[in-house]
Amino acid sequence: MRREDFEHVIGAAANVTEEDAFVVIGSQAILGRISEPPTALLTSMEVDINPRSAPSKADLIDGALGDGSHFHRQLGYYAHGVGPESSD
Amino acid sequence: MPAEDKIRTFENIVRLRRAEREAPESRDIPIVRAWLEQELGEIVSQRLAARLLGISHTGLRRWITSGDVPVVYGRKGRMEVPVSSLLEVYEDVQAQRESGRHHVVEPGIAAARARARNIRPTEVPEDADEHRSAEIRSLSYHRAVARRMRRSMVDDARHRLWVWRANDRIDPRFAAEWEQVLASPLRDVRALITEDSVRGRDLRQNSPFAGALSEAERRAVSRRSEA
Repeated sequence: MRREDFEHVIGAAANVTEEDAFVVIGSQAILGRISEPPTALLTSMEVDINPRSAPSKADLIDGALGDGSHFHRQLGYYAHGVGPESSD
Repeated sequence: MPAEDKIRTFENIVRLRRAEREAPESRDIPIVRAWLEQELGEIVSQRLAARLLGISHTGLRRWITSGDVPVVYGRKGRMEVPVSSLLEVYEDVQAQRESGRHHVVEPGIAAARARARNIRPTEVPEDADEHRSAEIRSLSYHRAVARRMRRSMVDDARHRLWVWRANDRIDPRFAAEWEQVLASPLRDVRALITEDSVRGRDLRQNSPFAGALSEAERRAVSRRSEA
């Protein structure tokens, strides 16, 4: 996943959930901090995210942007909505 | 890109899709088609989609509301139509118009809804954590894919895999494994994509069968698995 793809996922998740703050969990979190990540990260197609103020909306993310969705099929990347406990 | 150029590009994508079916072993055709889809922006505005389908904007809105035409959030935050889905709807519309029908999409969505009603999802245990729940949903999705699998679906998955590989969208290890799986006889593909093992779970996280089910089927799998 490239930085621009990551930004697309976060923007789409914001639209789907009507939230504006997300916690990104796992290796893809580095895409929020650096613009040119290691090549190995580019081949991952999944980003785990949690709407910080509304964890229950994670399901909305899976529904609209999750694996198997039209979003995933067209773009080759997807989001997995997770709860806050995943960051423990 | 000016609208007329976009229309010409889409018409060429349609031609390549046809060629892809006639020559499913060609790696070049899906890769060039995907490149043209990228040129088009991968997702197109509703206005352009309506024009390509030869219907009014109001008509398109009706199809979007009924679920006939899927939309996703584009990079600018607008609800737009993915080119791969538009291509399928376009081919349905053309086929039905050629057969003299006027209600050009409804039969397709009715069939998808009927299939969705027949999906038997895997139950998620109450104590399953999120990752296990996601794994079970994915397994359920692939079981539904396996039940209605045809060679053409495997060809589509191979083509998607080649495109992802060409664009560095998939880890080369998983790409190589998927390539092996998809070269197998159909009954083996069905078994491999529904294998409840570490290997099966890893493969399904990078599955080229994305979009193989209609949205109605996919949502039925998720909703019922969590009930």
